[in-house]
Amino acid sequence: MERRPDDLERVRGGEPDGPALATLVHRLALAPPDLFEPSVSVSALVADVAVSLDGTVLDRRVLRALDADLTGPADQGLHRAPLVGLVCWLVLDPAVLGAPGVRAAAAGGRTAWFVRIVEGVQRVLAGQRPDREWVQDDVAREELARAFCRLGGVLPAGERAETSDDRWLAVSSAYQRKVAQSMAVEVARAEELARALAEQRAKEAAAQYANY
Amino acid sequence: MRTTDETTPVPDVPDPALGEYTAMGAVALTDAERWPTLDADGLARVDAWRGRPDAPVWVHATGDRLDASDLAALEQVRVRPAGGPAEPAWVAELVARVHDTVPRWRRAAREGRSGPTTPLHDLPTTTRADLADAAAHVPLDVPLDRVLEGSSSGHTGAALNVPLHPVSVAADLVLLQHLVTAAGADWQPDPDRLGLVNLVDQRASFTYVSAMTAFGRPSDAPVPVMARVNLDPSVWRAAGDRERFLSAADPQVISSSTLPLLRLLDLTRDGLDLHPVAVVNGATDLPPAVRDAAAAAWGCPVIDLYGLRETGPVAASADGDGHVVVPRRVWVEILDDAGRAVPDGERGEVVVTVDENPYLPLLRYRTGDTAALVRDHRGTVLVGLQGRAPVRFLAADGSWHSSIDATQLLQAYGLAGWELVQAADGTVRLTALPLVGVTVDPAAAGDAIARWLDRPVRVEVVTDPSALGPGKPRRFRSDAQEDS
Repeated sequence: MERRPDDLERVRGGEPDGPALATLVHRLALAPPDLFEPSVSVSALVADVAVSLDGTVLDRRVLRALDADLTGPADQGLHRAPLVGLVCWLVLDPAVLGAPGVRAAAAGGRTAWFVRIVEGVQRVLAGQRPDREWVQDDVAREELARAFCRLGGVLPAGERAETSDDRWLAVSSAYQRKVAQSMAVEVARAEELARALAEQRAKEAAAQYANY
Repeated sequence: MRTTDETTPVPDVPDPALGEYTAMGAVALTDAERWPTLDADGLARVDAWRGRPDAPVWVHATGDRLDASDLAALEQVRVRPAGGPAEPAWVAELVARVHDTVPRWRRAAREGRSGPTTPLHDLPTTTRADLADAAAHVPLDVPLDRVLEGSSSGHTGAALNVPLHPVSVAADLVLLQHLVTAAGADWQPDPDRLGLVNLVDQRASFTYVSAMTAFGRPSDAPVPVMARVNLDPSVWRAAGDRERFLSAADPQVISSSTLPLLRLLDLTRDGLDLHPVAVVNGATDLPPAVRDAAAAAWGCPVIDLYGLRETGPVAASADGDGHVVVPRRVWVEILDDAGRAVPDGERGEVVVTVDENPYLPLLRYRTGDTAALVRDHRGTVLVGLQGRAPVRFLAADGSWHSSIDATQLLQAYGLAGWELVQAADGTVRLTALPLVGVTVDPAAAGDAIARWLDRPVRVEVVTDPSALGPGKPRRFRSDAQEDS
């Protein structure tokens, strides 16, 4: 079955021995404030990182698609740019690229691996939190760090797939929102059922043919 | 419509807490709403049975609520073949569906404990205690405008409020018709008789007359009429009315449970002349002696129907030699105490997966009853079914009383669970588990039991359900003997 690491389904797997979660979280805390400036061209940054990773020059089609993602539609684009910038910041950490799990996950080409994360992080995290929370808030940093690992197909160093999955769901804003919405629907339904059963027409019941 | 005789005093309910059984206290609909497809002739016959001078004081009025599309849906149920030895395809479909629509399983999916493709045998079981939170088991996508309140009888445990659908209730009639016919009986509409009587024998009960519009019949045949009737003398207006009414009704099918059947056999010995085409026992074990006595008294098939209010019918025995799983969307497993499947032929707990009631699809529901499972030419058969023993308590005056009376009382006094035990010397002990969040006085429940049996009752209050013991809540036990 095709793995879909960018959605909210559980993903049991990923290359073991990815970067340590603490490393990622710590690096996010040190991210340069420039990454949140609208004047920064994140597309250009992505292109530079690709070259530095394995000498790949991203073709015009990829960059045009990235530009389109990061500039429109209005609000969403603005929130995507800082996330992509932060992914670039993480990827440039030698401790990340040097992790055995990352080497295995990126065996088919570092840039291809990197671009998958760039694309995925926009889908999974854009708009989930105020931009600066991704570096300022402990839980937000962990959410981004774990999303980075999932999208990159690696498990944080020392974690088993099941543990990693549970911890991701515990910090995922989208998942927690989905759970809250789901529970709200269930609570409303329970109240509706109680009202329906309390109605006299429910209490009149129906004729019984057998005994239980 | 005439359902009670205004000039006749209505008997009081037997206990102040049983107000819901006040005559006509729970009616809400018109007769046209009770039987949307019934014609004037059918309504006239319902009214005729209601209004007989020898009729009991009817406590309730209710119908089958079936519209034309319901009746069409029931026609599909009528032709359903019996299942084979392998897990049917609908089971996996049900597992997938409930993980999307049923709160309990949605939660399991969210928490990664199970999912739409989890094999049935890897899923946890469901217990009666789980169903105390009924809403957690009702699919989110089924409109609630047809929900009915179904209380389990409490023959062998605490009563439970089960959401029912008119079509699944009426499917019982379709099944009975199939079982009675398969047993060799000829059950044709007869406008001069009641098509069926559902017979109880307890202090308080909902009784009514209804038309059986789901009864399979030629299009020009009349809709048969049925009644739920209580044999308890207190609900009849005059001595002899009970016998006169039953004799006039001469019900074609008598659907009951063990203790009312015993009472009816007594009445038969005393001269009540009935000619049923079949007798159906439900709710409690049918001892061979009672089966034989019924067969001898009326010379007709005696069918023991095994099922629970939560699951509906599961299996039936027409000959006393095992209960054959009925042709419904019901799948039976036999599990050991640890929840593992036992090999065919070995005794274990009967666990049922069922997709009949749209409001209550159940995965791996633990019945608390035990049997061994064999597969033979008859289909899937439960052998040695145990666990539905009726319990009777001995009052100080030497009369016997069904545990159903106690269930009604203890429930009405706000108990969530209980254990009511009568020792061999007649002394009575009540272990009471009050409902959480409800201000109740368990002593009042004890007093009600004391009035019922005219005996002192020792009451012990517990707050932890586990204090009532493991497994099925065997909440009634009576070791009393005739001379206790």
